[in-house]
Amino acid sequence: MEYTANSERYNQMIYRRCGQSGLKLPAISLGMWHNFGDTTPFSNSREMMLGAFDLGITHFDLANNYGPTAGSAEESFGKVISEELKGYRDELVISTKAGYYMWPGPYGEWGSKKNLISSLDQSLKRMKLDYVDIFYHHRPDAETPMEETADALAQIVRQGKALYIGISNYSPEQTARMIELLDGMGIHLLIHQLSHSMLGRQNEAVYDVLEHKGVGSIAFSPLAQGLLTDRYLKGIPEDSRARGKSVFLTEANITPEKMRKVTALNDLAAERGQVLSQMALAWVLQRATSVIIGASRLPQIVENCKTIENTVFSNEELMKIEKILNG
Amino acid sequence: MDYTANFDRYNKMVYRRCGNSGLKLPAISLGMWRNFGDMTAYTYGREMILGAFDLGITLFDLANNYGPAAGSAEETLGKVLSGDLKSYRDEILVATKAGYYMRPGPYGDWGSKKYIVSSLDQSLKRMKLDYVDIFYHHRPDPDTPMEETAEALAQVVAQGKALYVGISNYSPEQTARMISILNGMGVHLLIHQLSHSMIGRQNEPVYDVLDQNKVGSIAFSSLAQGILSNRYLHAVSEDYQSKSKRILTTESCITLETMKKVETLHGMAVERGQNLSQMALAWVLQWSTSVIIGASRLSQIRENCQTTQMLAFSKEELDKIDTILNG
Repeated sequence: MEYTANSERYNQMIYRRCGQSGLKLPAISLGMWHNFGDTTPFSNSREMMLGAFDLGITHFDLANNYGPTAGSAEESFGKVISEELKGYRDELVISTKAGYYMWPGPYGEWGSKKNLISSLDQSLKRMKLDYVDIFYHHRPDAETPMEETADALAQIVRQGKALYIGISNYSPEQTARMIELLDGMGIHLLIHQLSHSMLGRQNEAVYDVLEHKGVGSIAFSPLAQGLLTDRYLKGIPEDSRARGKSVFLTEANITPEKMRKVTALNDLAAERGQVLSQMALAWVLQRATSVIIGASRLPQIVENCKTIENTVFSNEELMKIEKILNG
Repeated sequence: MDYTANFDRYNKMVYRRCGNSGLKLPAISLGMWRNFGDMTAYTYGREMILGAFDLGITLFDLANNYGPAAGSAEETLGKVLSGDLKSYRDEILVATKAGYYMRPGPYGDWGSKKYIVSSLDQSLKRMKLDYVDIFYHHRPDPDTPMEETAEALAQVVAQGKALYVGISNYSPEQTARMISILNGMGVHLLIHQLSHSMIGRQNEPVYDVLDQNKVGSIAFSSLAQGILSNRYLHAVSEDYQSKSKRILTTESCITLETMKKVETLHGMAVERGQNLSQMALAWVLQWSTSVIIGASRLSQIRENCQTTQMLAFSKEELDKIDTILNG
């Protein structure tokens, strides 16, 4: 079946400048961490990717190990970008990463130049691309000199295998140091990808460094693995991530205290004319350039994209949220 | 029909060094802004391109968006270059640009690395070329750091997708800054493309910066959209009132005062044994390395090329022209 993109797609999304760069990101980006691997029917993955693009989502976030199985999310994406989305490559910002465990032996994870260079080459093959738009170092490596990791990132840019460079999961101090090292190599750090949500605020100090240096940001887990949705408000559904064998969200995470906060936030969202997940995304967008949403079905993406209809908070609302979260 | 280039072509044209580079440009270059798109019969476009080359015109000036429709001028040149001119590729300078609106979405306009790199890839495909000779950033982007745009230009040079880089429509200050940033990356700015004519002199301060930094220049709109040709002269001398209405609607900048100057300039051109357009081109060549001519017929190109028979101005003539223009 021939695909033609929705001609209205760019009227439905907000695009925000990524730090002091020439690149704009959609407020909502599609994360392909789960649900796009080869254990999911490809037809569903394709429907979500094309549906997301039709909604104005121009940024698809991947990593070498996304799946499951590891690598298969890139393969799913490669299939779509070389077929239905082929004529739209230049309208898309595609990111991938290296840093977490990918293959056995001493060169399959962390931050050596050996790992980063070879991992990106593999990613490009899986995605059938000449270059990605953003390449990230996925997590800091305490044992590899940061100079070596920076050298690998700079080489990738010079070879044209990535247009821009990002880092992920770096502390404020590590971030400042990497920015400086890359600057010395003539490379501007485009973006930091960090975990941030109303219920996960441990990384907020990173934003201070980024804003000071003109670096953009993109937040993952903005819905705290689904806690900040109406999914768990009335108990734990049988088919949910928390009920399954996910290590990222377990029944033990869902404490009565958390659920009290979530219920109060849900009431506030209703007052704002949003669902809880939309308010949670809008709240993260107060700090981040873009938020990454995960999805297992297209209607979730559609619902999340409606966030942009109300991203403004009054001072009173923000204070009320602080009170709920700290309460 | 097989095409063989006129063996005498290099005896008819003057070639001038572009700044302090190794590259020489023909005094007259062919601009493909209009009249070479898919709204014009291919036979006309082909005839003008081959005819221009036969006259010693070795520089063909394009941009991603030239047409109409956008992109189709590059396709036209690509067709001629891969057909009739195939064995003459290395005698020809192909220039293209990115910077104006080309495609929908946040990556189809202005000066991000994302736009510039992907646009050149598309241009190369349309022209069926491995590289262009000159690649321009078409207009300054106030919202993108100039460092990012410079990095994109440096990358296309490093990758061999362009031999030289240029800028267009930059102010004197922006030009000086771009030259210095590119220098820091080991790239020499070859050329600035600017609007310049006897009656459009607002960009003359740019030449000072270019001369200081030994950067070449190429002027467009040197006939002020046809005002500096015989085309509108009769409108003044004949029935000014009725004709002027037509002129004012198509060329809103033509005033009676301007047309009086044009008439005086015409008289002077006749004294020099030229027509007005030839004198207007020769006058711009006092400043710029080359001038870009537009054309809808081969006979116009021929007439413009005869400019090179009389390029020199006496001091008296130049003073007289200034008096006319300032009068």
